[in-house]
Amino acid sequence: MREPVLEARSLVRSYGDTPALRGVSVAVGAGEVVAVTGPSGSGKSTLLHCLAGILRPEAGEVHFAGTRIDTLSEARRTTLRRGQFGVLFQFGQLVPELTAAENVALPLLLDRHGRAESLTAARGWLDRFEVTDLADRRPGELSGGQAQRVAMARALVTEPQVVFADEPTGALDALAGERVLTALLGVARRAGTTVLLVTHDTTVAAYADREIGLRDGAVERADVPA
Amino acid sequence: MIGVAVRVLRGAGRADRVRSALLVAGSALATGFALCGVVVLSIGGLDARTLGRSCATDHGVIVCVAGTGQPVAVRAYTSNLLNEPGLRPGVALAFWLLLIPVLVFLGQCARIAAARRDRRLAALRLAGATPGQVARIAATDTGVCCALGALAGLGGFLLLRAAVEAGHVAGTPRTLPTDVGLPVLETVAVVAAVPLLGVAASVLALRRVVATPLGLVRRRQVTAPAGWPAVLLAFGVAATALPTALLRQGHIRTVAPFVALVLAGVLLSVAGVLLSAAWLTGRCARLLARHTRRPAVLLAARRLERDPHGQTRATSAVLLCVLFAAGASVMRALTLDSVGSGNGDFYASAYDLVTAAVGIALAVAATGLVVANVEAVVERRRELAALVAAGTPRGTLRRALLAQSVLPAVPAVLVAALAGTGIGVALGAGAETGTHIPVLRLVVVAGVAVGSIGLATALTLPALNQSVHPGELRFE
Repeated sequence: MREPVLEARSLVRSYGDTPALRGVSVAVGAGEVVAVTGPSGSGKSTLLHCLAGILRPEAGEVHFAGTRIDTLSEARRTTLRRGQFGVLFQFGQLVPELTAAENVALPLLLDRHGRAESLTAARGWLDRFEVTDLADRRPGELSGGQAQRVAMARALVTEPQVVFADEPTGALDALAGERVLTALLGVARRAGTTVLLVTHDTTVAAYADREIGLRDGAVERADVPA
Repeated sequence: MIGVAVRVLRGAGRADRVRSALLVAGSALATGFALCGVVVLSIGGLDARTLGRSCATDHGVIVCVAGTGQPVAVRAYTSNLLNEPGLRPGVALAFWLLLIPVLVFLGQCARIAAARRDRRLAALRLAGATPGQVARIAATDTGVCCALGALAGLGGFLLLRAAVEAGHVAGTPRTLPTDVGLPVLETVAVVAAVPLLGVAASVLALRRVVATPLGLVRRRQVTAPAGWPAVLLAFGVAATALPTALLRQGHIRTVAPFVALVLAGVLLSVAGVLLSAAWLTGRCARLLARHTRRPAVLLAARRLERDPHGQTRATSAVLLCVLFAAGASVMRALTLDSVGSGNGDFYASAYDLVTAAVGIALAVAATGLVVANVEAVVERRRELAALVAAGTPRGTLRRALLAQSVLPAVPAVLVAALAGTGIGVALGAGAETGTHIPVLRLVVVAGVAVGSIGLATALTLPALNQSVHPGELRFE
């Protein structure tokens, strides 16, 4: 494995009396594409949320590029997520009232970039995902696959070091899912971006360099797919 | 049908229970206001029989000849608004006008947990219920709560009345007409009408929701607001001036056509204000969205541009309060100028009562706005949580929510205040002292209205903080 850019050490997290993570330790190298797999309720999403700084673990540590991030304030973790991380979910992540270009430009506007500059950059990223012609449409006017491409452009517009994708193809049919995944990983690999992919689908996991299997909140296996 | 609705209600979640509780509370309040109006109209003339031979009456003011031989004036009530028979219909009307913000509140409450309820209705369709049956079940859901609220309101009214009457010292004027019995027929009519009005308000609020067996909820295309309501508004204000002019020229000799014409003008103005506000909101939002570089303003402006009617609907009761308060302020100034110091206190106290009524209406309207805002935030919680997860600061979302409420409120309140001023001037056109616009008072009215909208939105912020919890992002 390449030098770790992201590392979790003995993470523990529970929801009420239900444990979600029981001392999980993982490391992800720079530029690596890692799939986190496991059955429903195995703790995949919770692990991703802890690694992305969305959730704080109850015990254990999360390190990103040599800095411990789980102890940072909410404001600093938010800034980190906006600048260094890109986040992609199954659905419902685009603001329905904003156009596709404005959705993609939003992280740049939040970083106080100019409006014109942000929208130009957004259109560039929409072009990379081959949806430039949809720039002025709103999410409600897009198909599921098109909306995911716009979401991917938004996740990558700040040129993050790590992209966290939680079941990014879960709401798409097989063909649309394959196209979306190919586009995401193609752009990420060219840019040397690390991708952490949560999925329960073995065909999706096959796109990754390495697979980490979870079961009942613990790492079951961490290997390279055949 | 009622059985199915009740069984569905019994299996309801927390949000459904909150909706039911608010519907009961709103209906109880509506019943209370309606009964107050009924009681005021039921105050009868007092005669010597009720008070003894030494007493006579004159417009509700009881004149007693005391043992000393000196005539002593004893009033039945502390407020002349209740003593003067000619003013009682106005007082009753003021109470009934308070029903408008309460009905808006009920409509807003009916939207709580709409998504969950929509899924439930879709499940009923899948189980074989026809669209009509589903609509009746939804109406029964609201109707049962409103009926319970009406009964609770009646009970509360009777208890409060008994408590106030128990504290009355014999021989002194009463503060409230607690000596007047509730007329049975009117009381039954109120208790029956409140659930019907509640159902009507909720059906109106949910008219764009269509449940299908596939679990889909289709909302009809929201039409963009047009600019013609501005003409309606101008026409309404002008129409309000017409009866005063006709009265001065002697074309109107009785009260009924005068009141009917004034009401028609006011209703046109109200419709004009609400529709103009939506148009103005849409225009301002589009302008802001095209030029702003602030993410919070962009989020707010695009939401407003997409559904300008939604925000106006949420603030409509506040806008009505501004319209009435502005109109009353102008008429107060004109009236006090024209009567001079002789009857000034009497009229001032009458207008103080109007101000108090508008204040109560504003409080109800602001509560309704809190409910509407919380529901809007809860409905978008997944989207908001995803934004925070992607690095949007919570502060940006808070500012967006505030901007979404306050930005359109400023021009809308201005339009409502101007319309109210126009109505006040139109109605007071016969005053001999000329037109005196109480600018400071109008500024206070507008400021309080915008402030209450801001406060109501600020009270929503804790719900926003809860809604962006990462738990909303779980799909497992």
